Amino acid sequence: MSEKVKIRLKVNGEDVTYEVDAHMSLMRALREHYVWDVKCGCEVGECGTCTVLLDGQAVKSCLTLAAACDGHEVWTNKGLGYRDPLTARLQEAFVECGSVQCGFCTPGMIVAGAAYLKHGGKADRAAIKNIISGNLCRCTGYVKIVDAIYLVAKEIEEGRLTA
Amino acid sequence: MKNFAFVNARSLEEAVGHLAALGPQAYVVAGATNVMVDIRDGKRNDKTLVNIRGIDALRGIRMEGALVWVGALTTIAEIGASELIKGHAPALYMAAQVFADPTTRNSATIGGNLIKASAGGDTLPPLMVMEADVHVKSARGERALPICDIFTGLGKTRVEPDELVTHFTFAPQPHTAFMKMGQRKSMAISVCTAAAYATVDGEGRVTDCRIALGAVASTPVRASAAEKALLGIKVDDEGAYEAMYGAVQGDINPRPHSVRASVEYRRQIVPVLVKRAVRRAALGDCGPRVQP
Repeated sequence: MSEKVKIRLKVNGEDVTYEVDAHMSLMRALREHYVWDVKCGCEVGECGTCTVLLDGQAVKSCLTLAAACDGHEVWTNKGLGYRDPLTARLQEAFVECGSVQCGFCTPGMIVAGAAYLKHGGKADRAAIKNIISGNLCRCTGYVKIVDAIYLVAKEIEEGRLTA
Repeated sequence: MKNFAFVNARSLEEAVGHLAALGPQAYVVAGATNVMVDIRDGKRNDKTLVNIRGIDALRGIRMEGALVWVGALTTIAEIGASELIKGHAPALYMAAQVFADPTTRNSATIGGNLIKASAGGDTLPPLMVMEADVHVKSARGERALPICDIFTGLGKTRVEPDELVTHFTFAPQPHTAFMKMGQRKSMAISVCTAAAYATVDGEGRVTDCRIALGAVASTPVRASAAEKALLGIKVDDEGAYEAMYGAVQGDINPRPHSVRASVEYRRQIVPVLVKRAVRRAALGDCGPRVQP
């Protein structure tokens, strides 16, 4: 049995204390504490649906050791959608562009896309494809996902939205 | 049943102290991108995870005198965004652009890539053509190991269990380049990779070169036969590479029954990657995309 480790972190703006197994991934730790918008896909870093922001950087939470996140800040798709206007707009854009089919990849796609836009990403289809290249989608063929991120990037560039 | 303990090292001294106390029981975790997969697969168990992710002294890219200094905890994303690396080690910069995918690169560290000692570790051939020194520290002291003979087998290095990789140093060398062949552009373990250092004289003839290859033997390898065959050839003369095409076959030993590529395919593709890497290295230009 793995040792239990107590970690204090900020999840979607809220201070929480989790008791986790020493070897547990951040993805498992979040899901055990009802943060279910973080999906468990491949659990080996291939699919990207568990992508979250850790201290503002997009990371795959299945490849992140929960115990090492003590004192750090995590944002997920759902939390960002409520608290961050840019992500809220990106979520709307996903709906407008028809970027969601089965929806399983969507939380990871939105977090990866939001991180791109927050770090000054441009309305550049090749760059957008690159940034979501670690996120698998087996429904859409990616075109509509790229459309949604491109649309919001364009709105930022035209000054209709602030990153 | 998974059975792990956890300790958090807040400083280099603490980390080295934990490693001295734990010995082979210690399992160092930095970016965790390999560690989490190995734990899940059951490849490692009954270990104490020593977290070093928070040790800022092991992070960063800077000049130290005439040498480039890269901390072991520097992420691949940081390397891929560094103007200093782009100018002084284009091969490493190019490798960072095709390493895993952009999200994984935010976690994965260069020190972790070394210690994983995978034959296909994408930062390893570039570090080999740069002839980088790997600096390690333990309670017994510090030492520097030349990267070209650090790998002793698949997943094995000369770094002892009580030693922690702290940083890498190498002399700036703008005439380097890296080529990767993968099954797709992203999240692809390399089918094979080639890094080159090559300088040319006024007529475009190779005056000095070093070649390192990934995923073509049980460890990354220096291709000494190919290096000899390349000396004196004109980099823009297609026919001049013929001798290297044959010579490089003696430098490599691809694994049979690999899931990613057959032995025959790797033997055909390696010389092509070497040729392209040499040309790019001689130009001293790393460009935006580096897919062959």
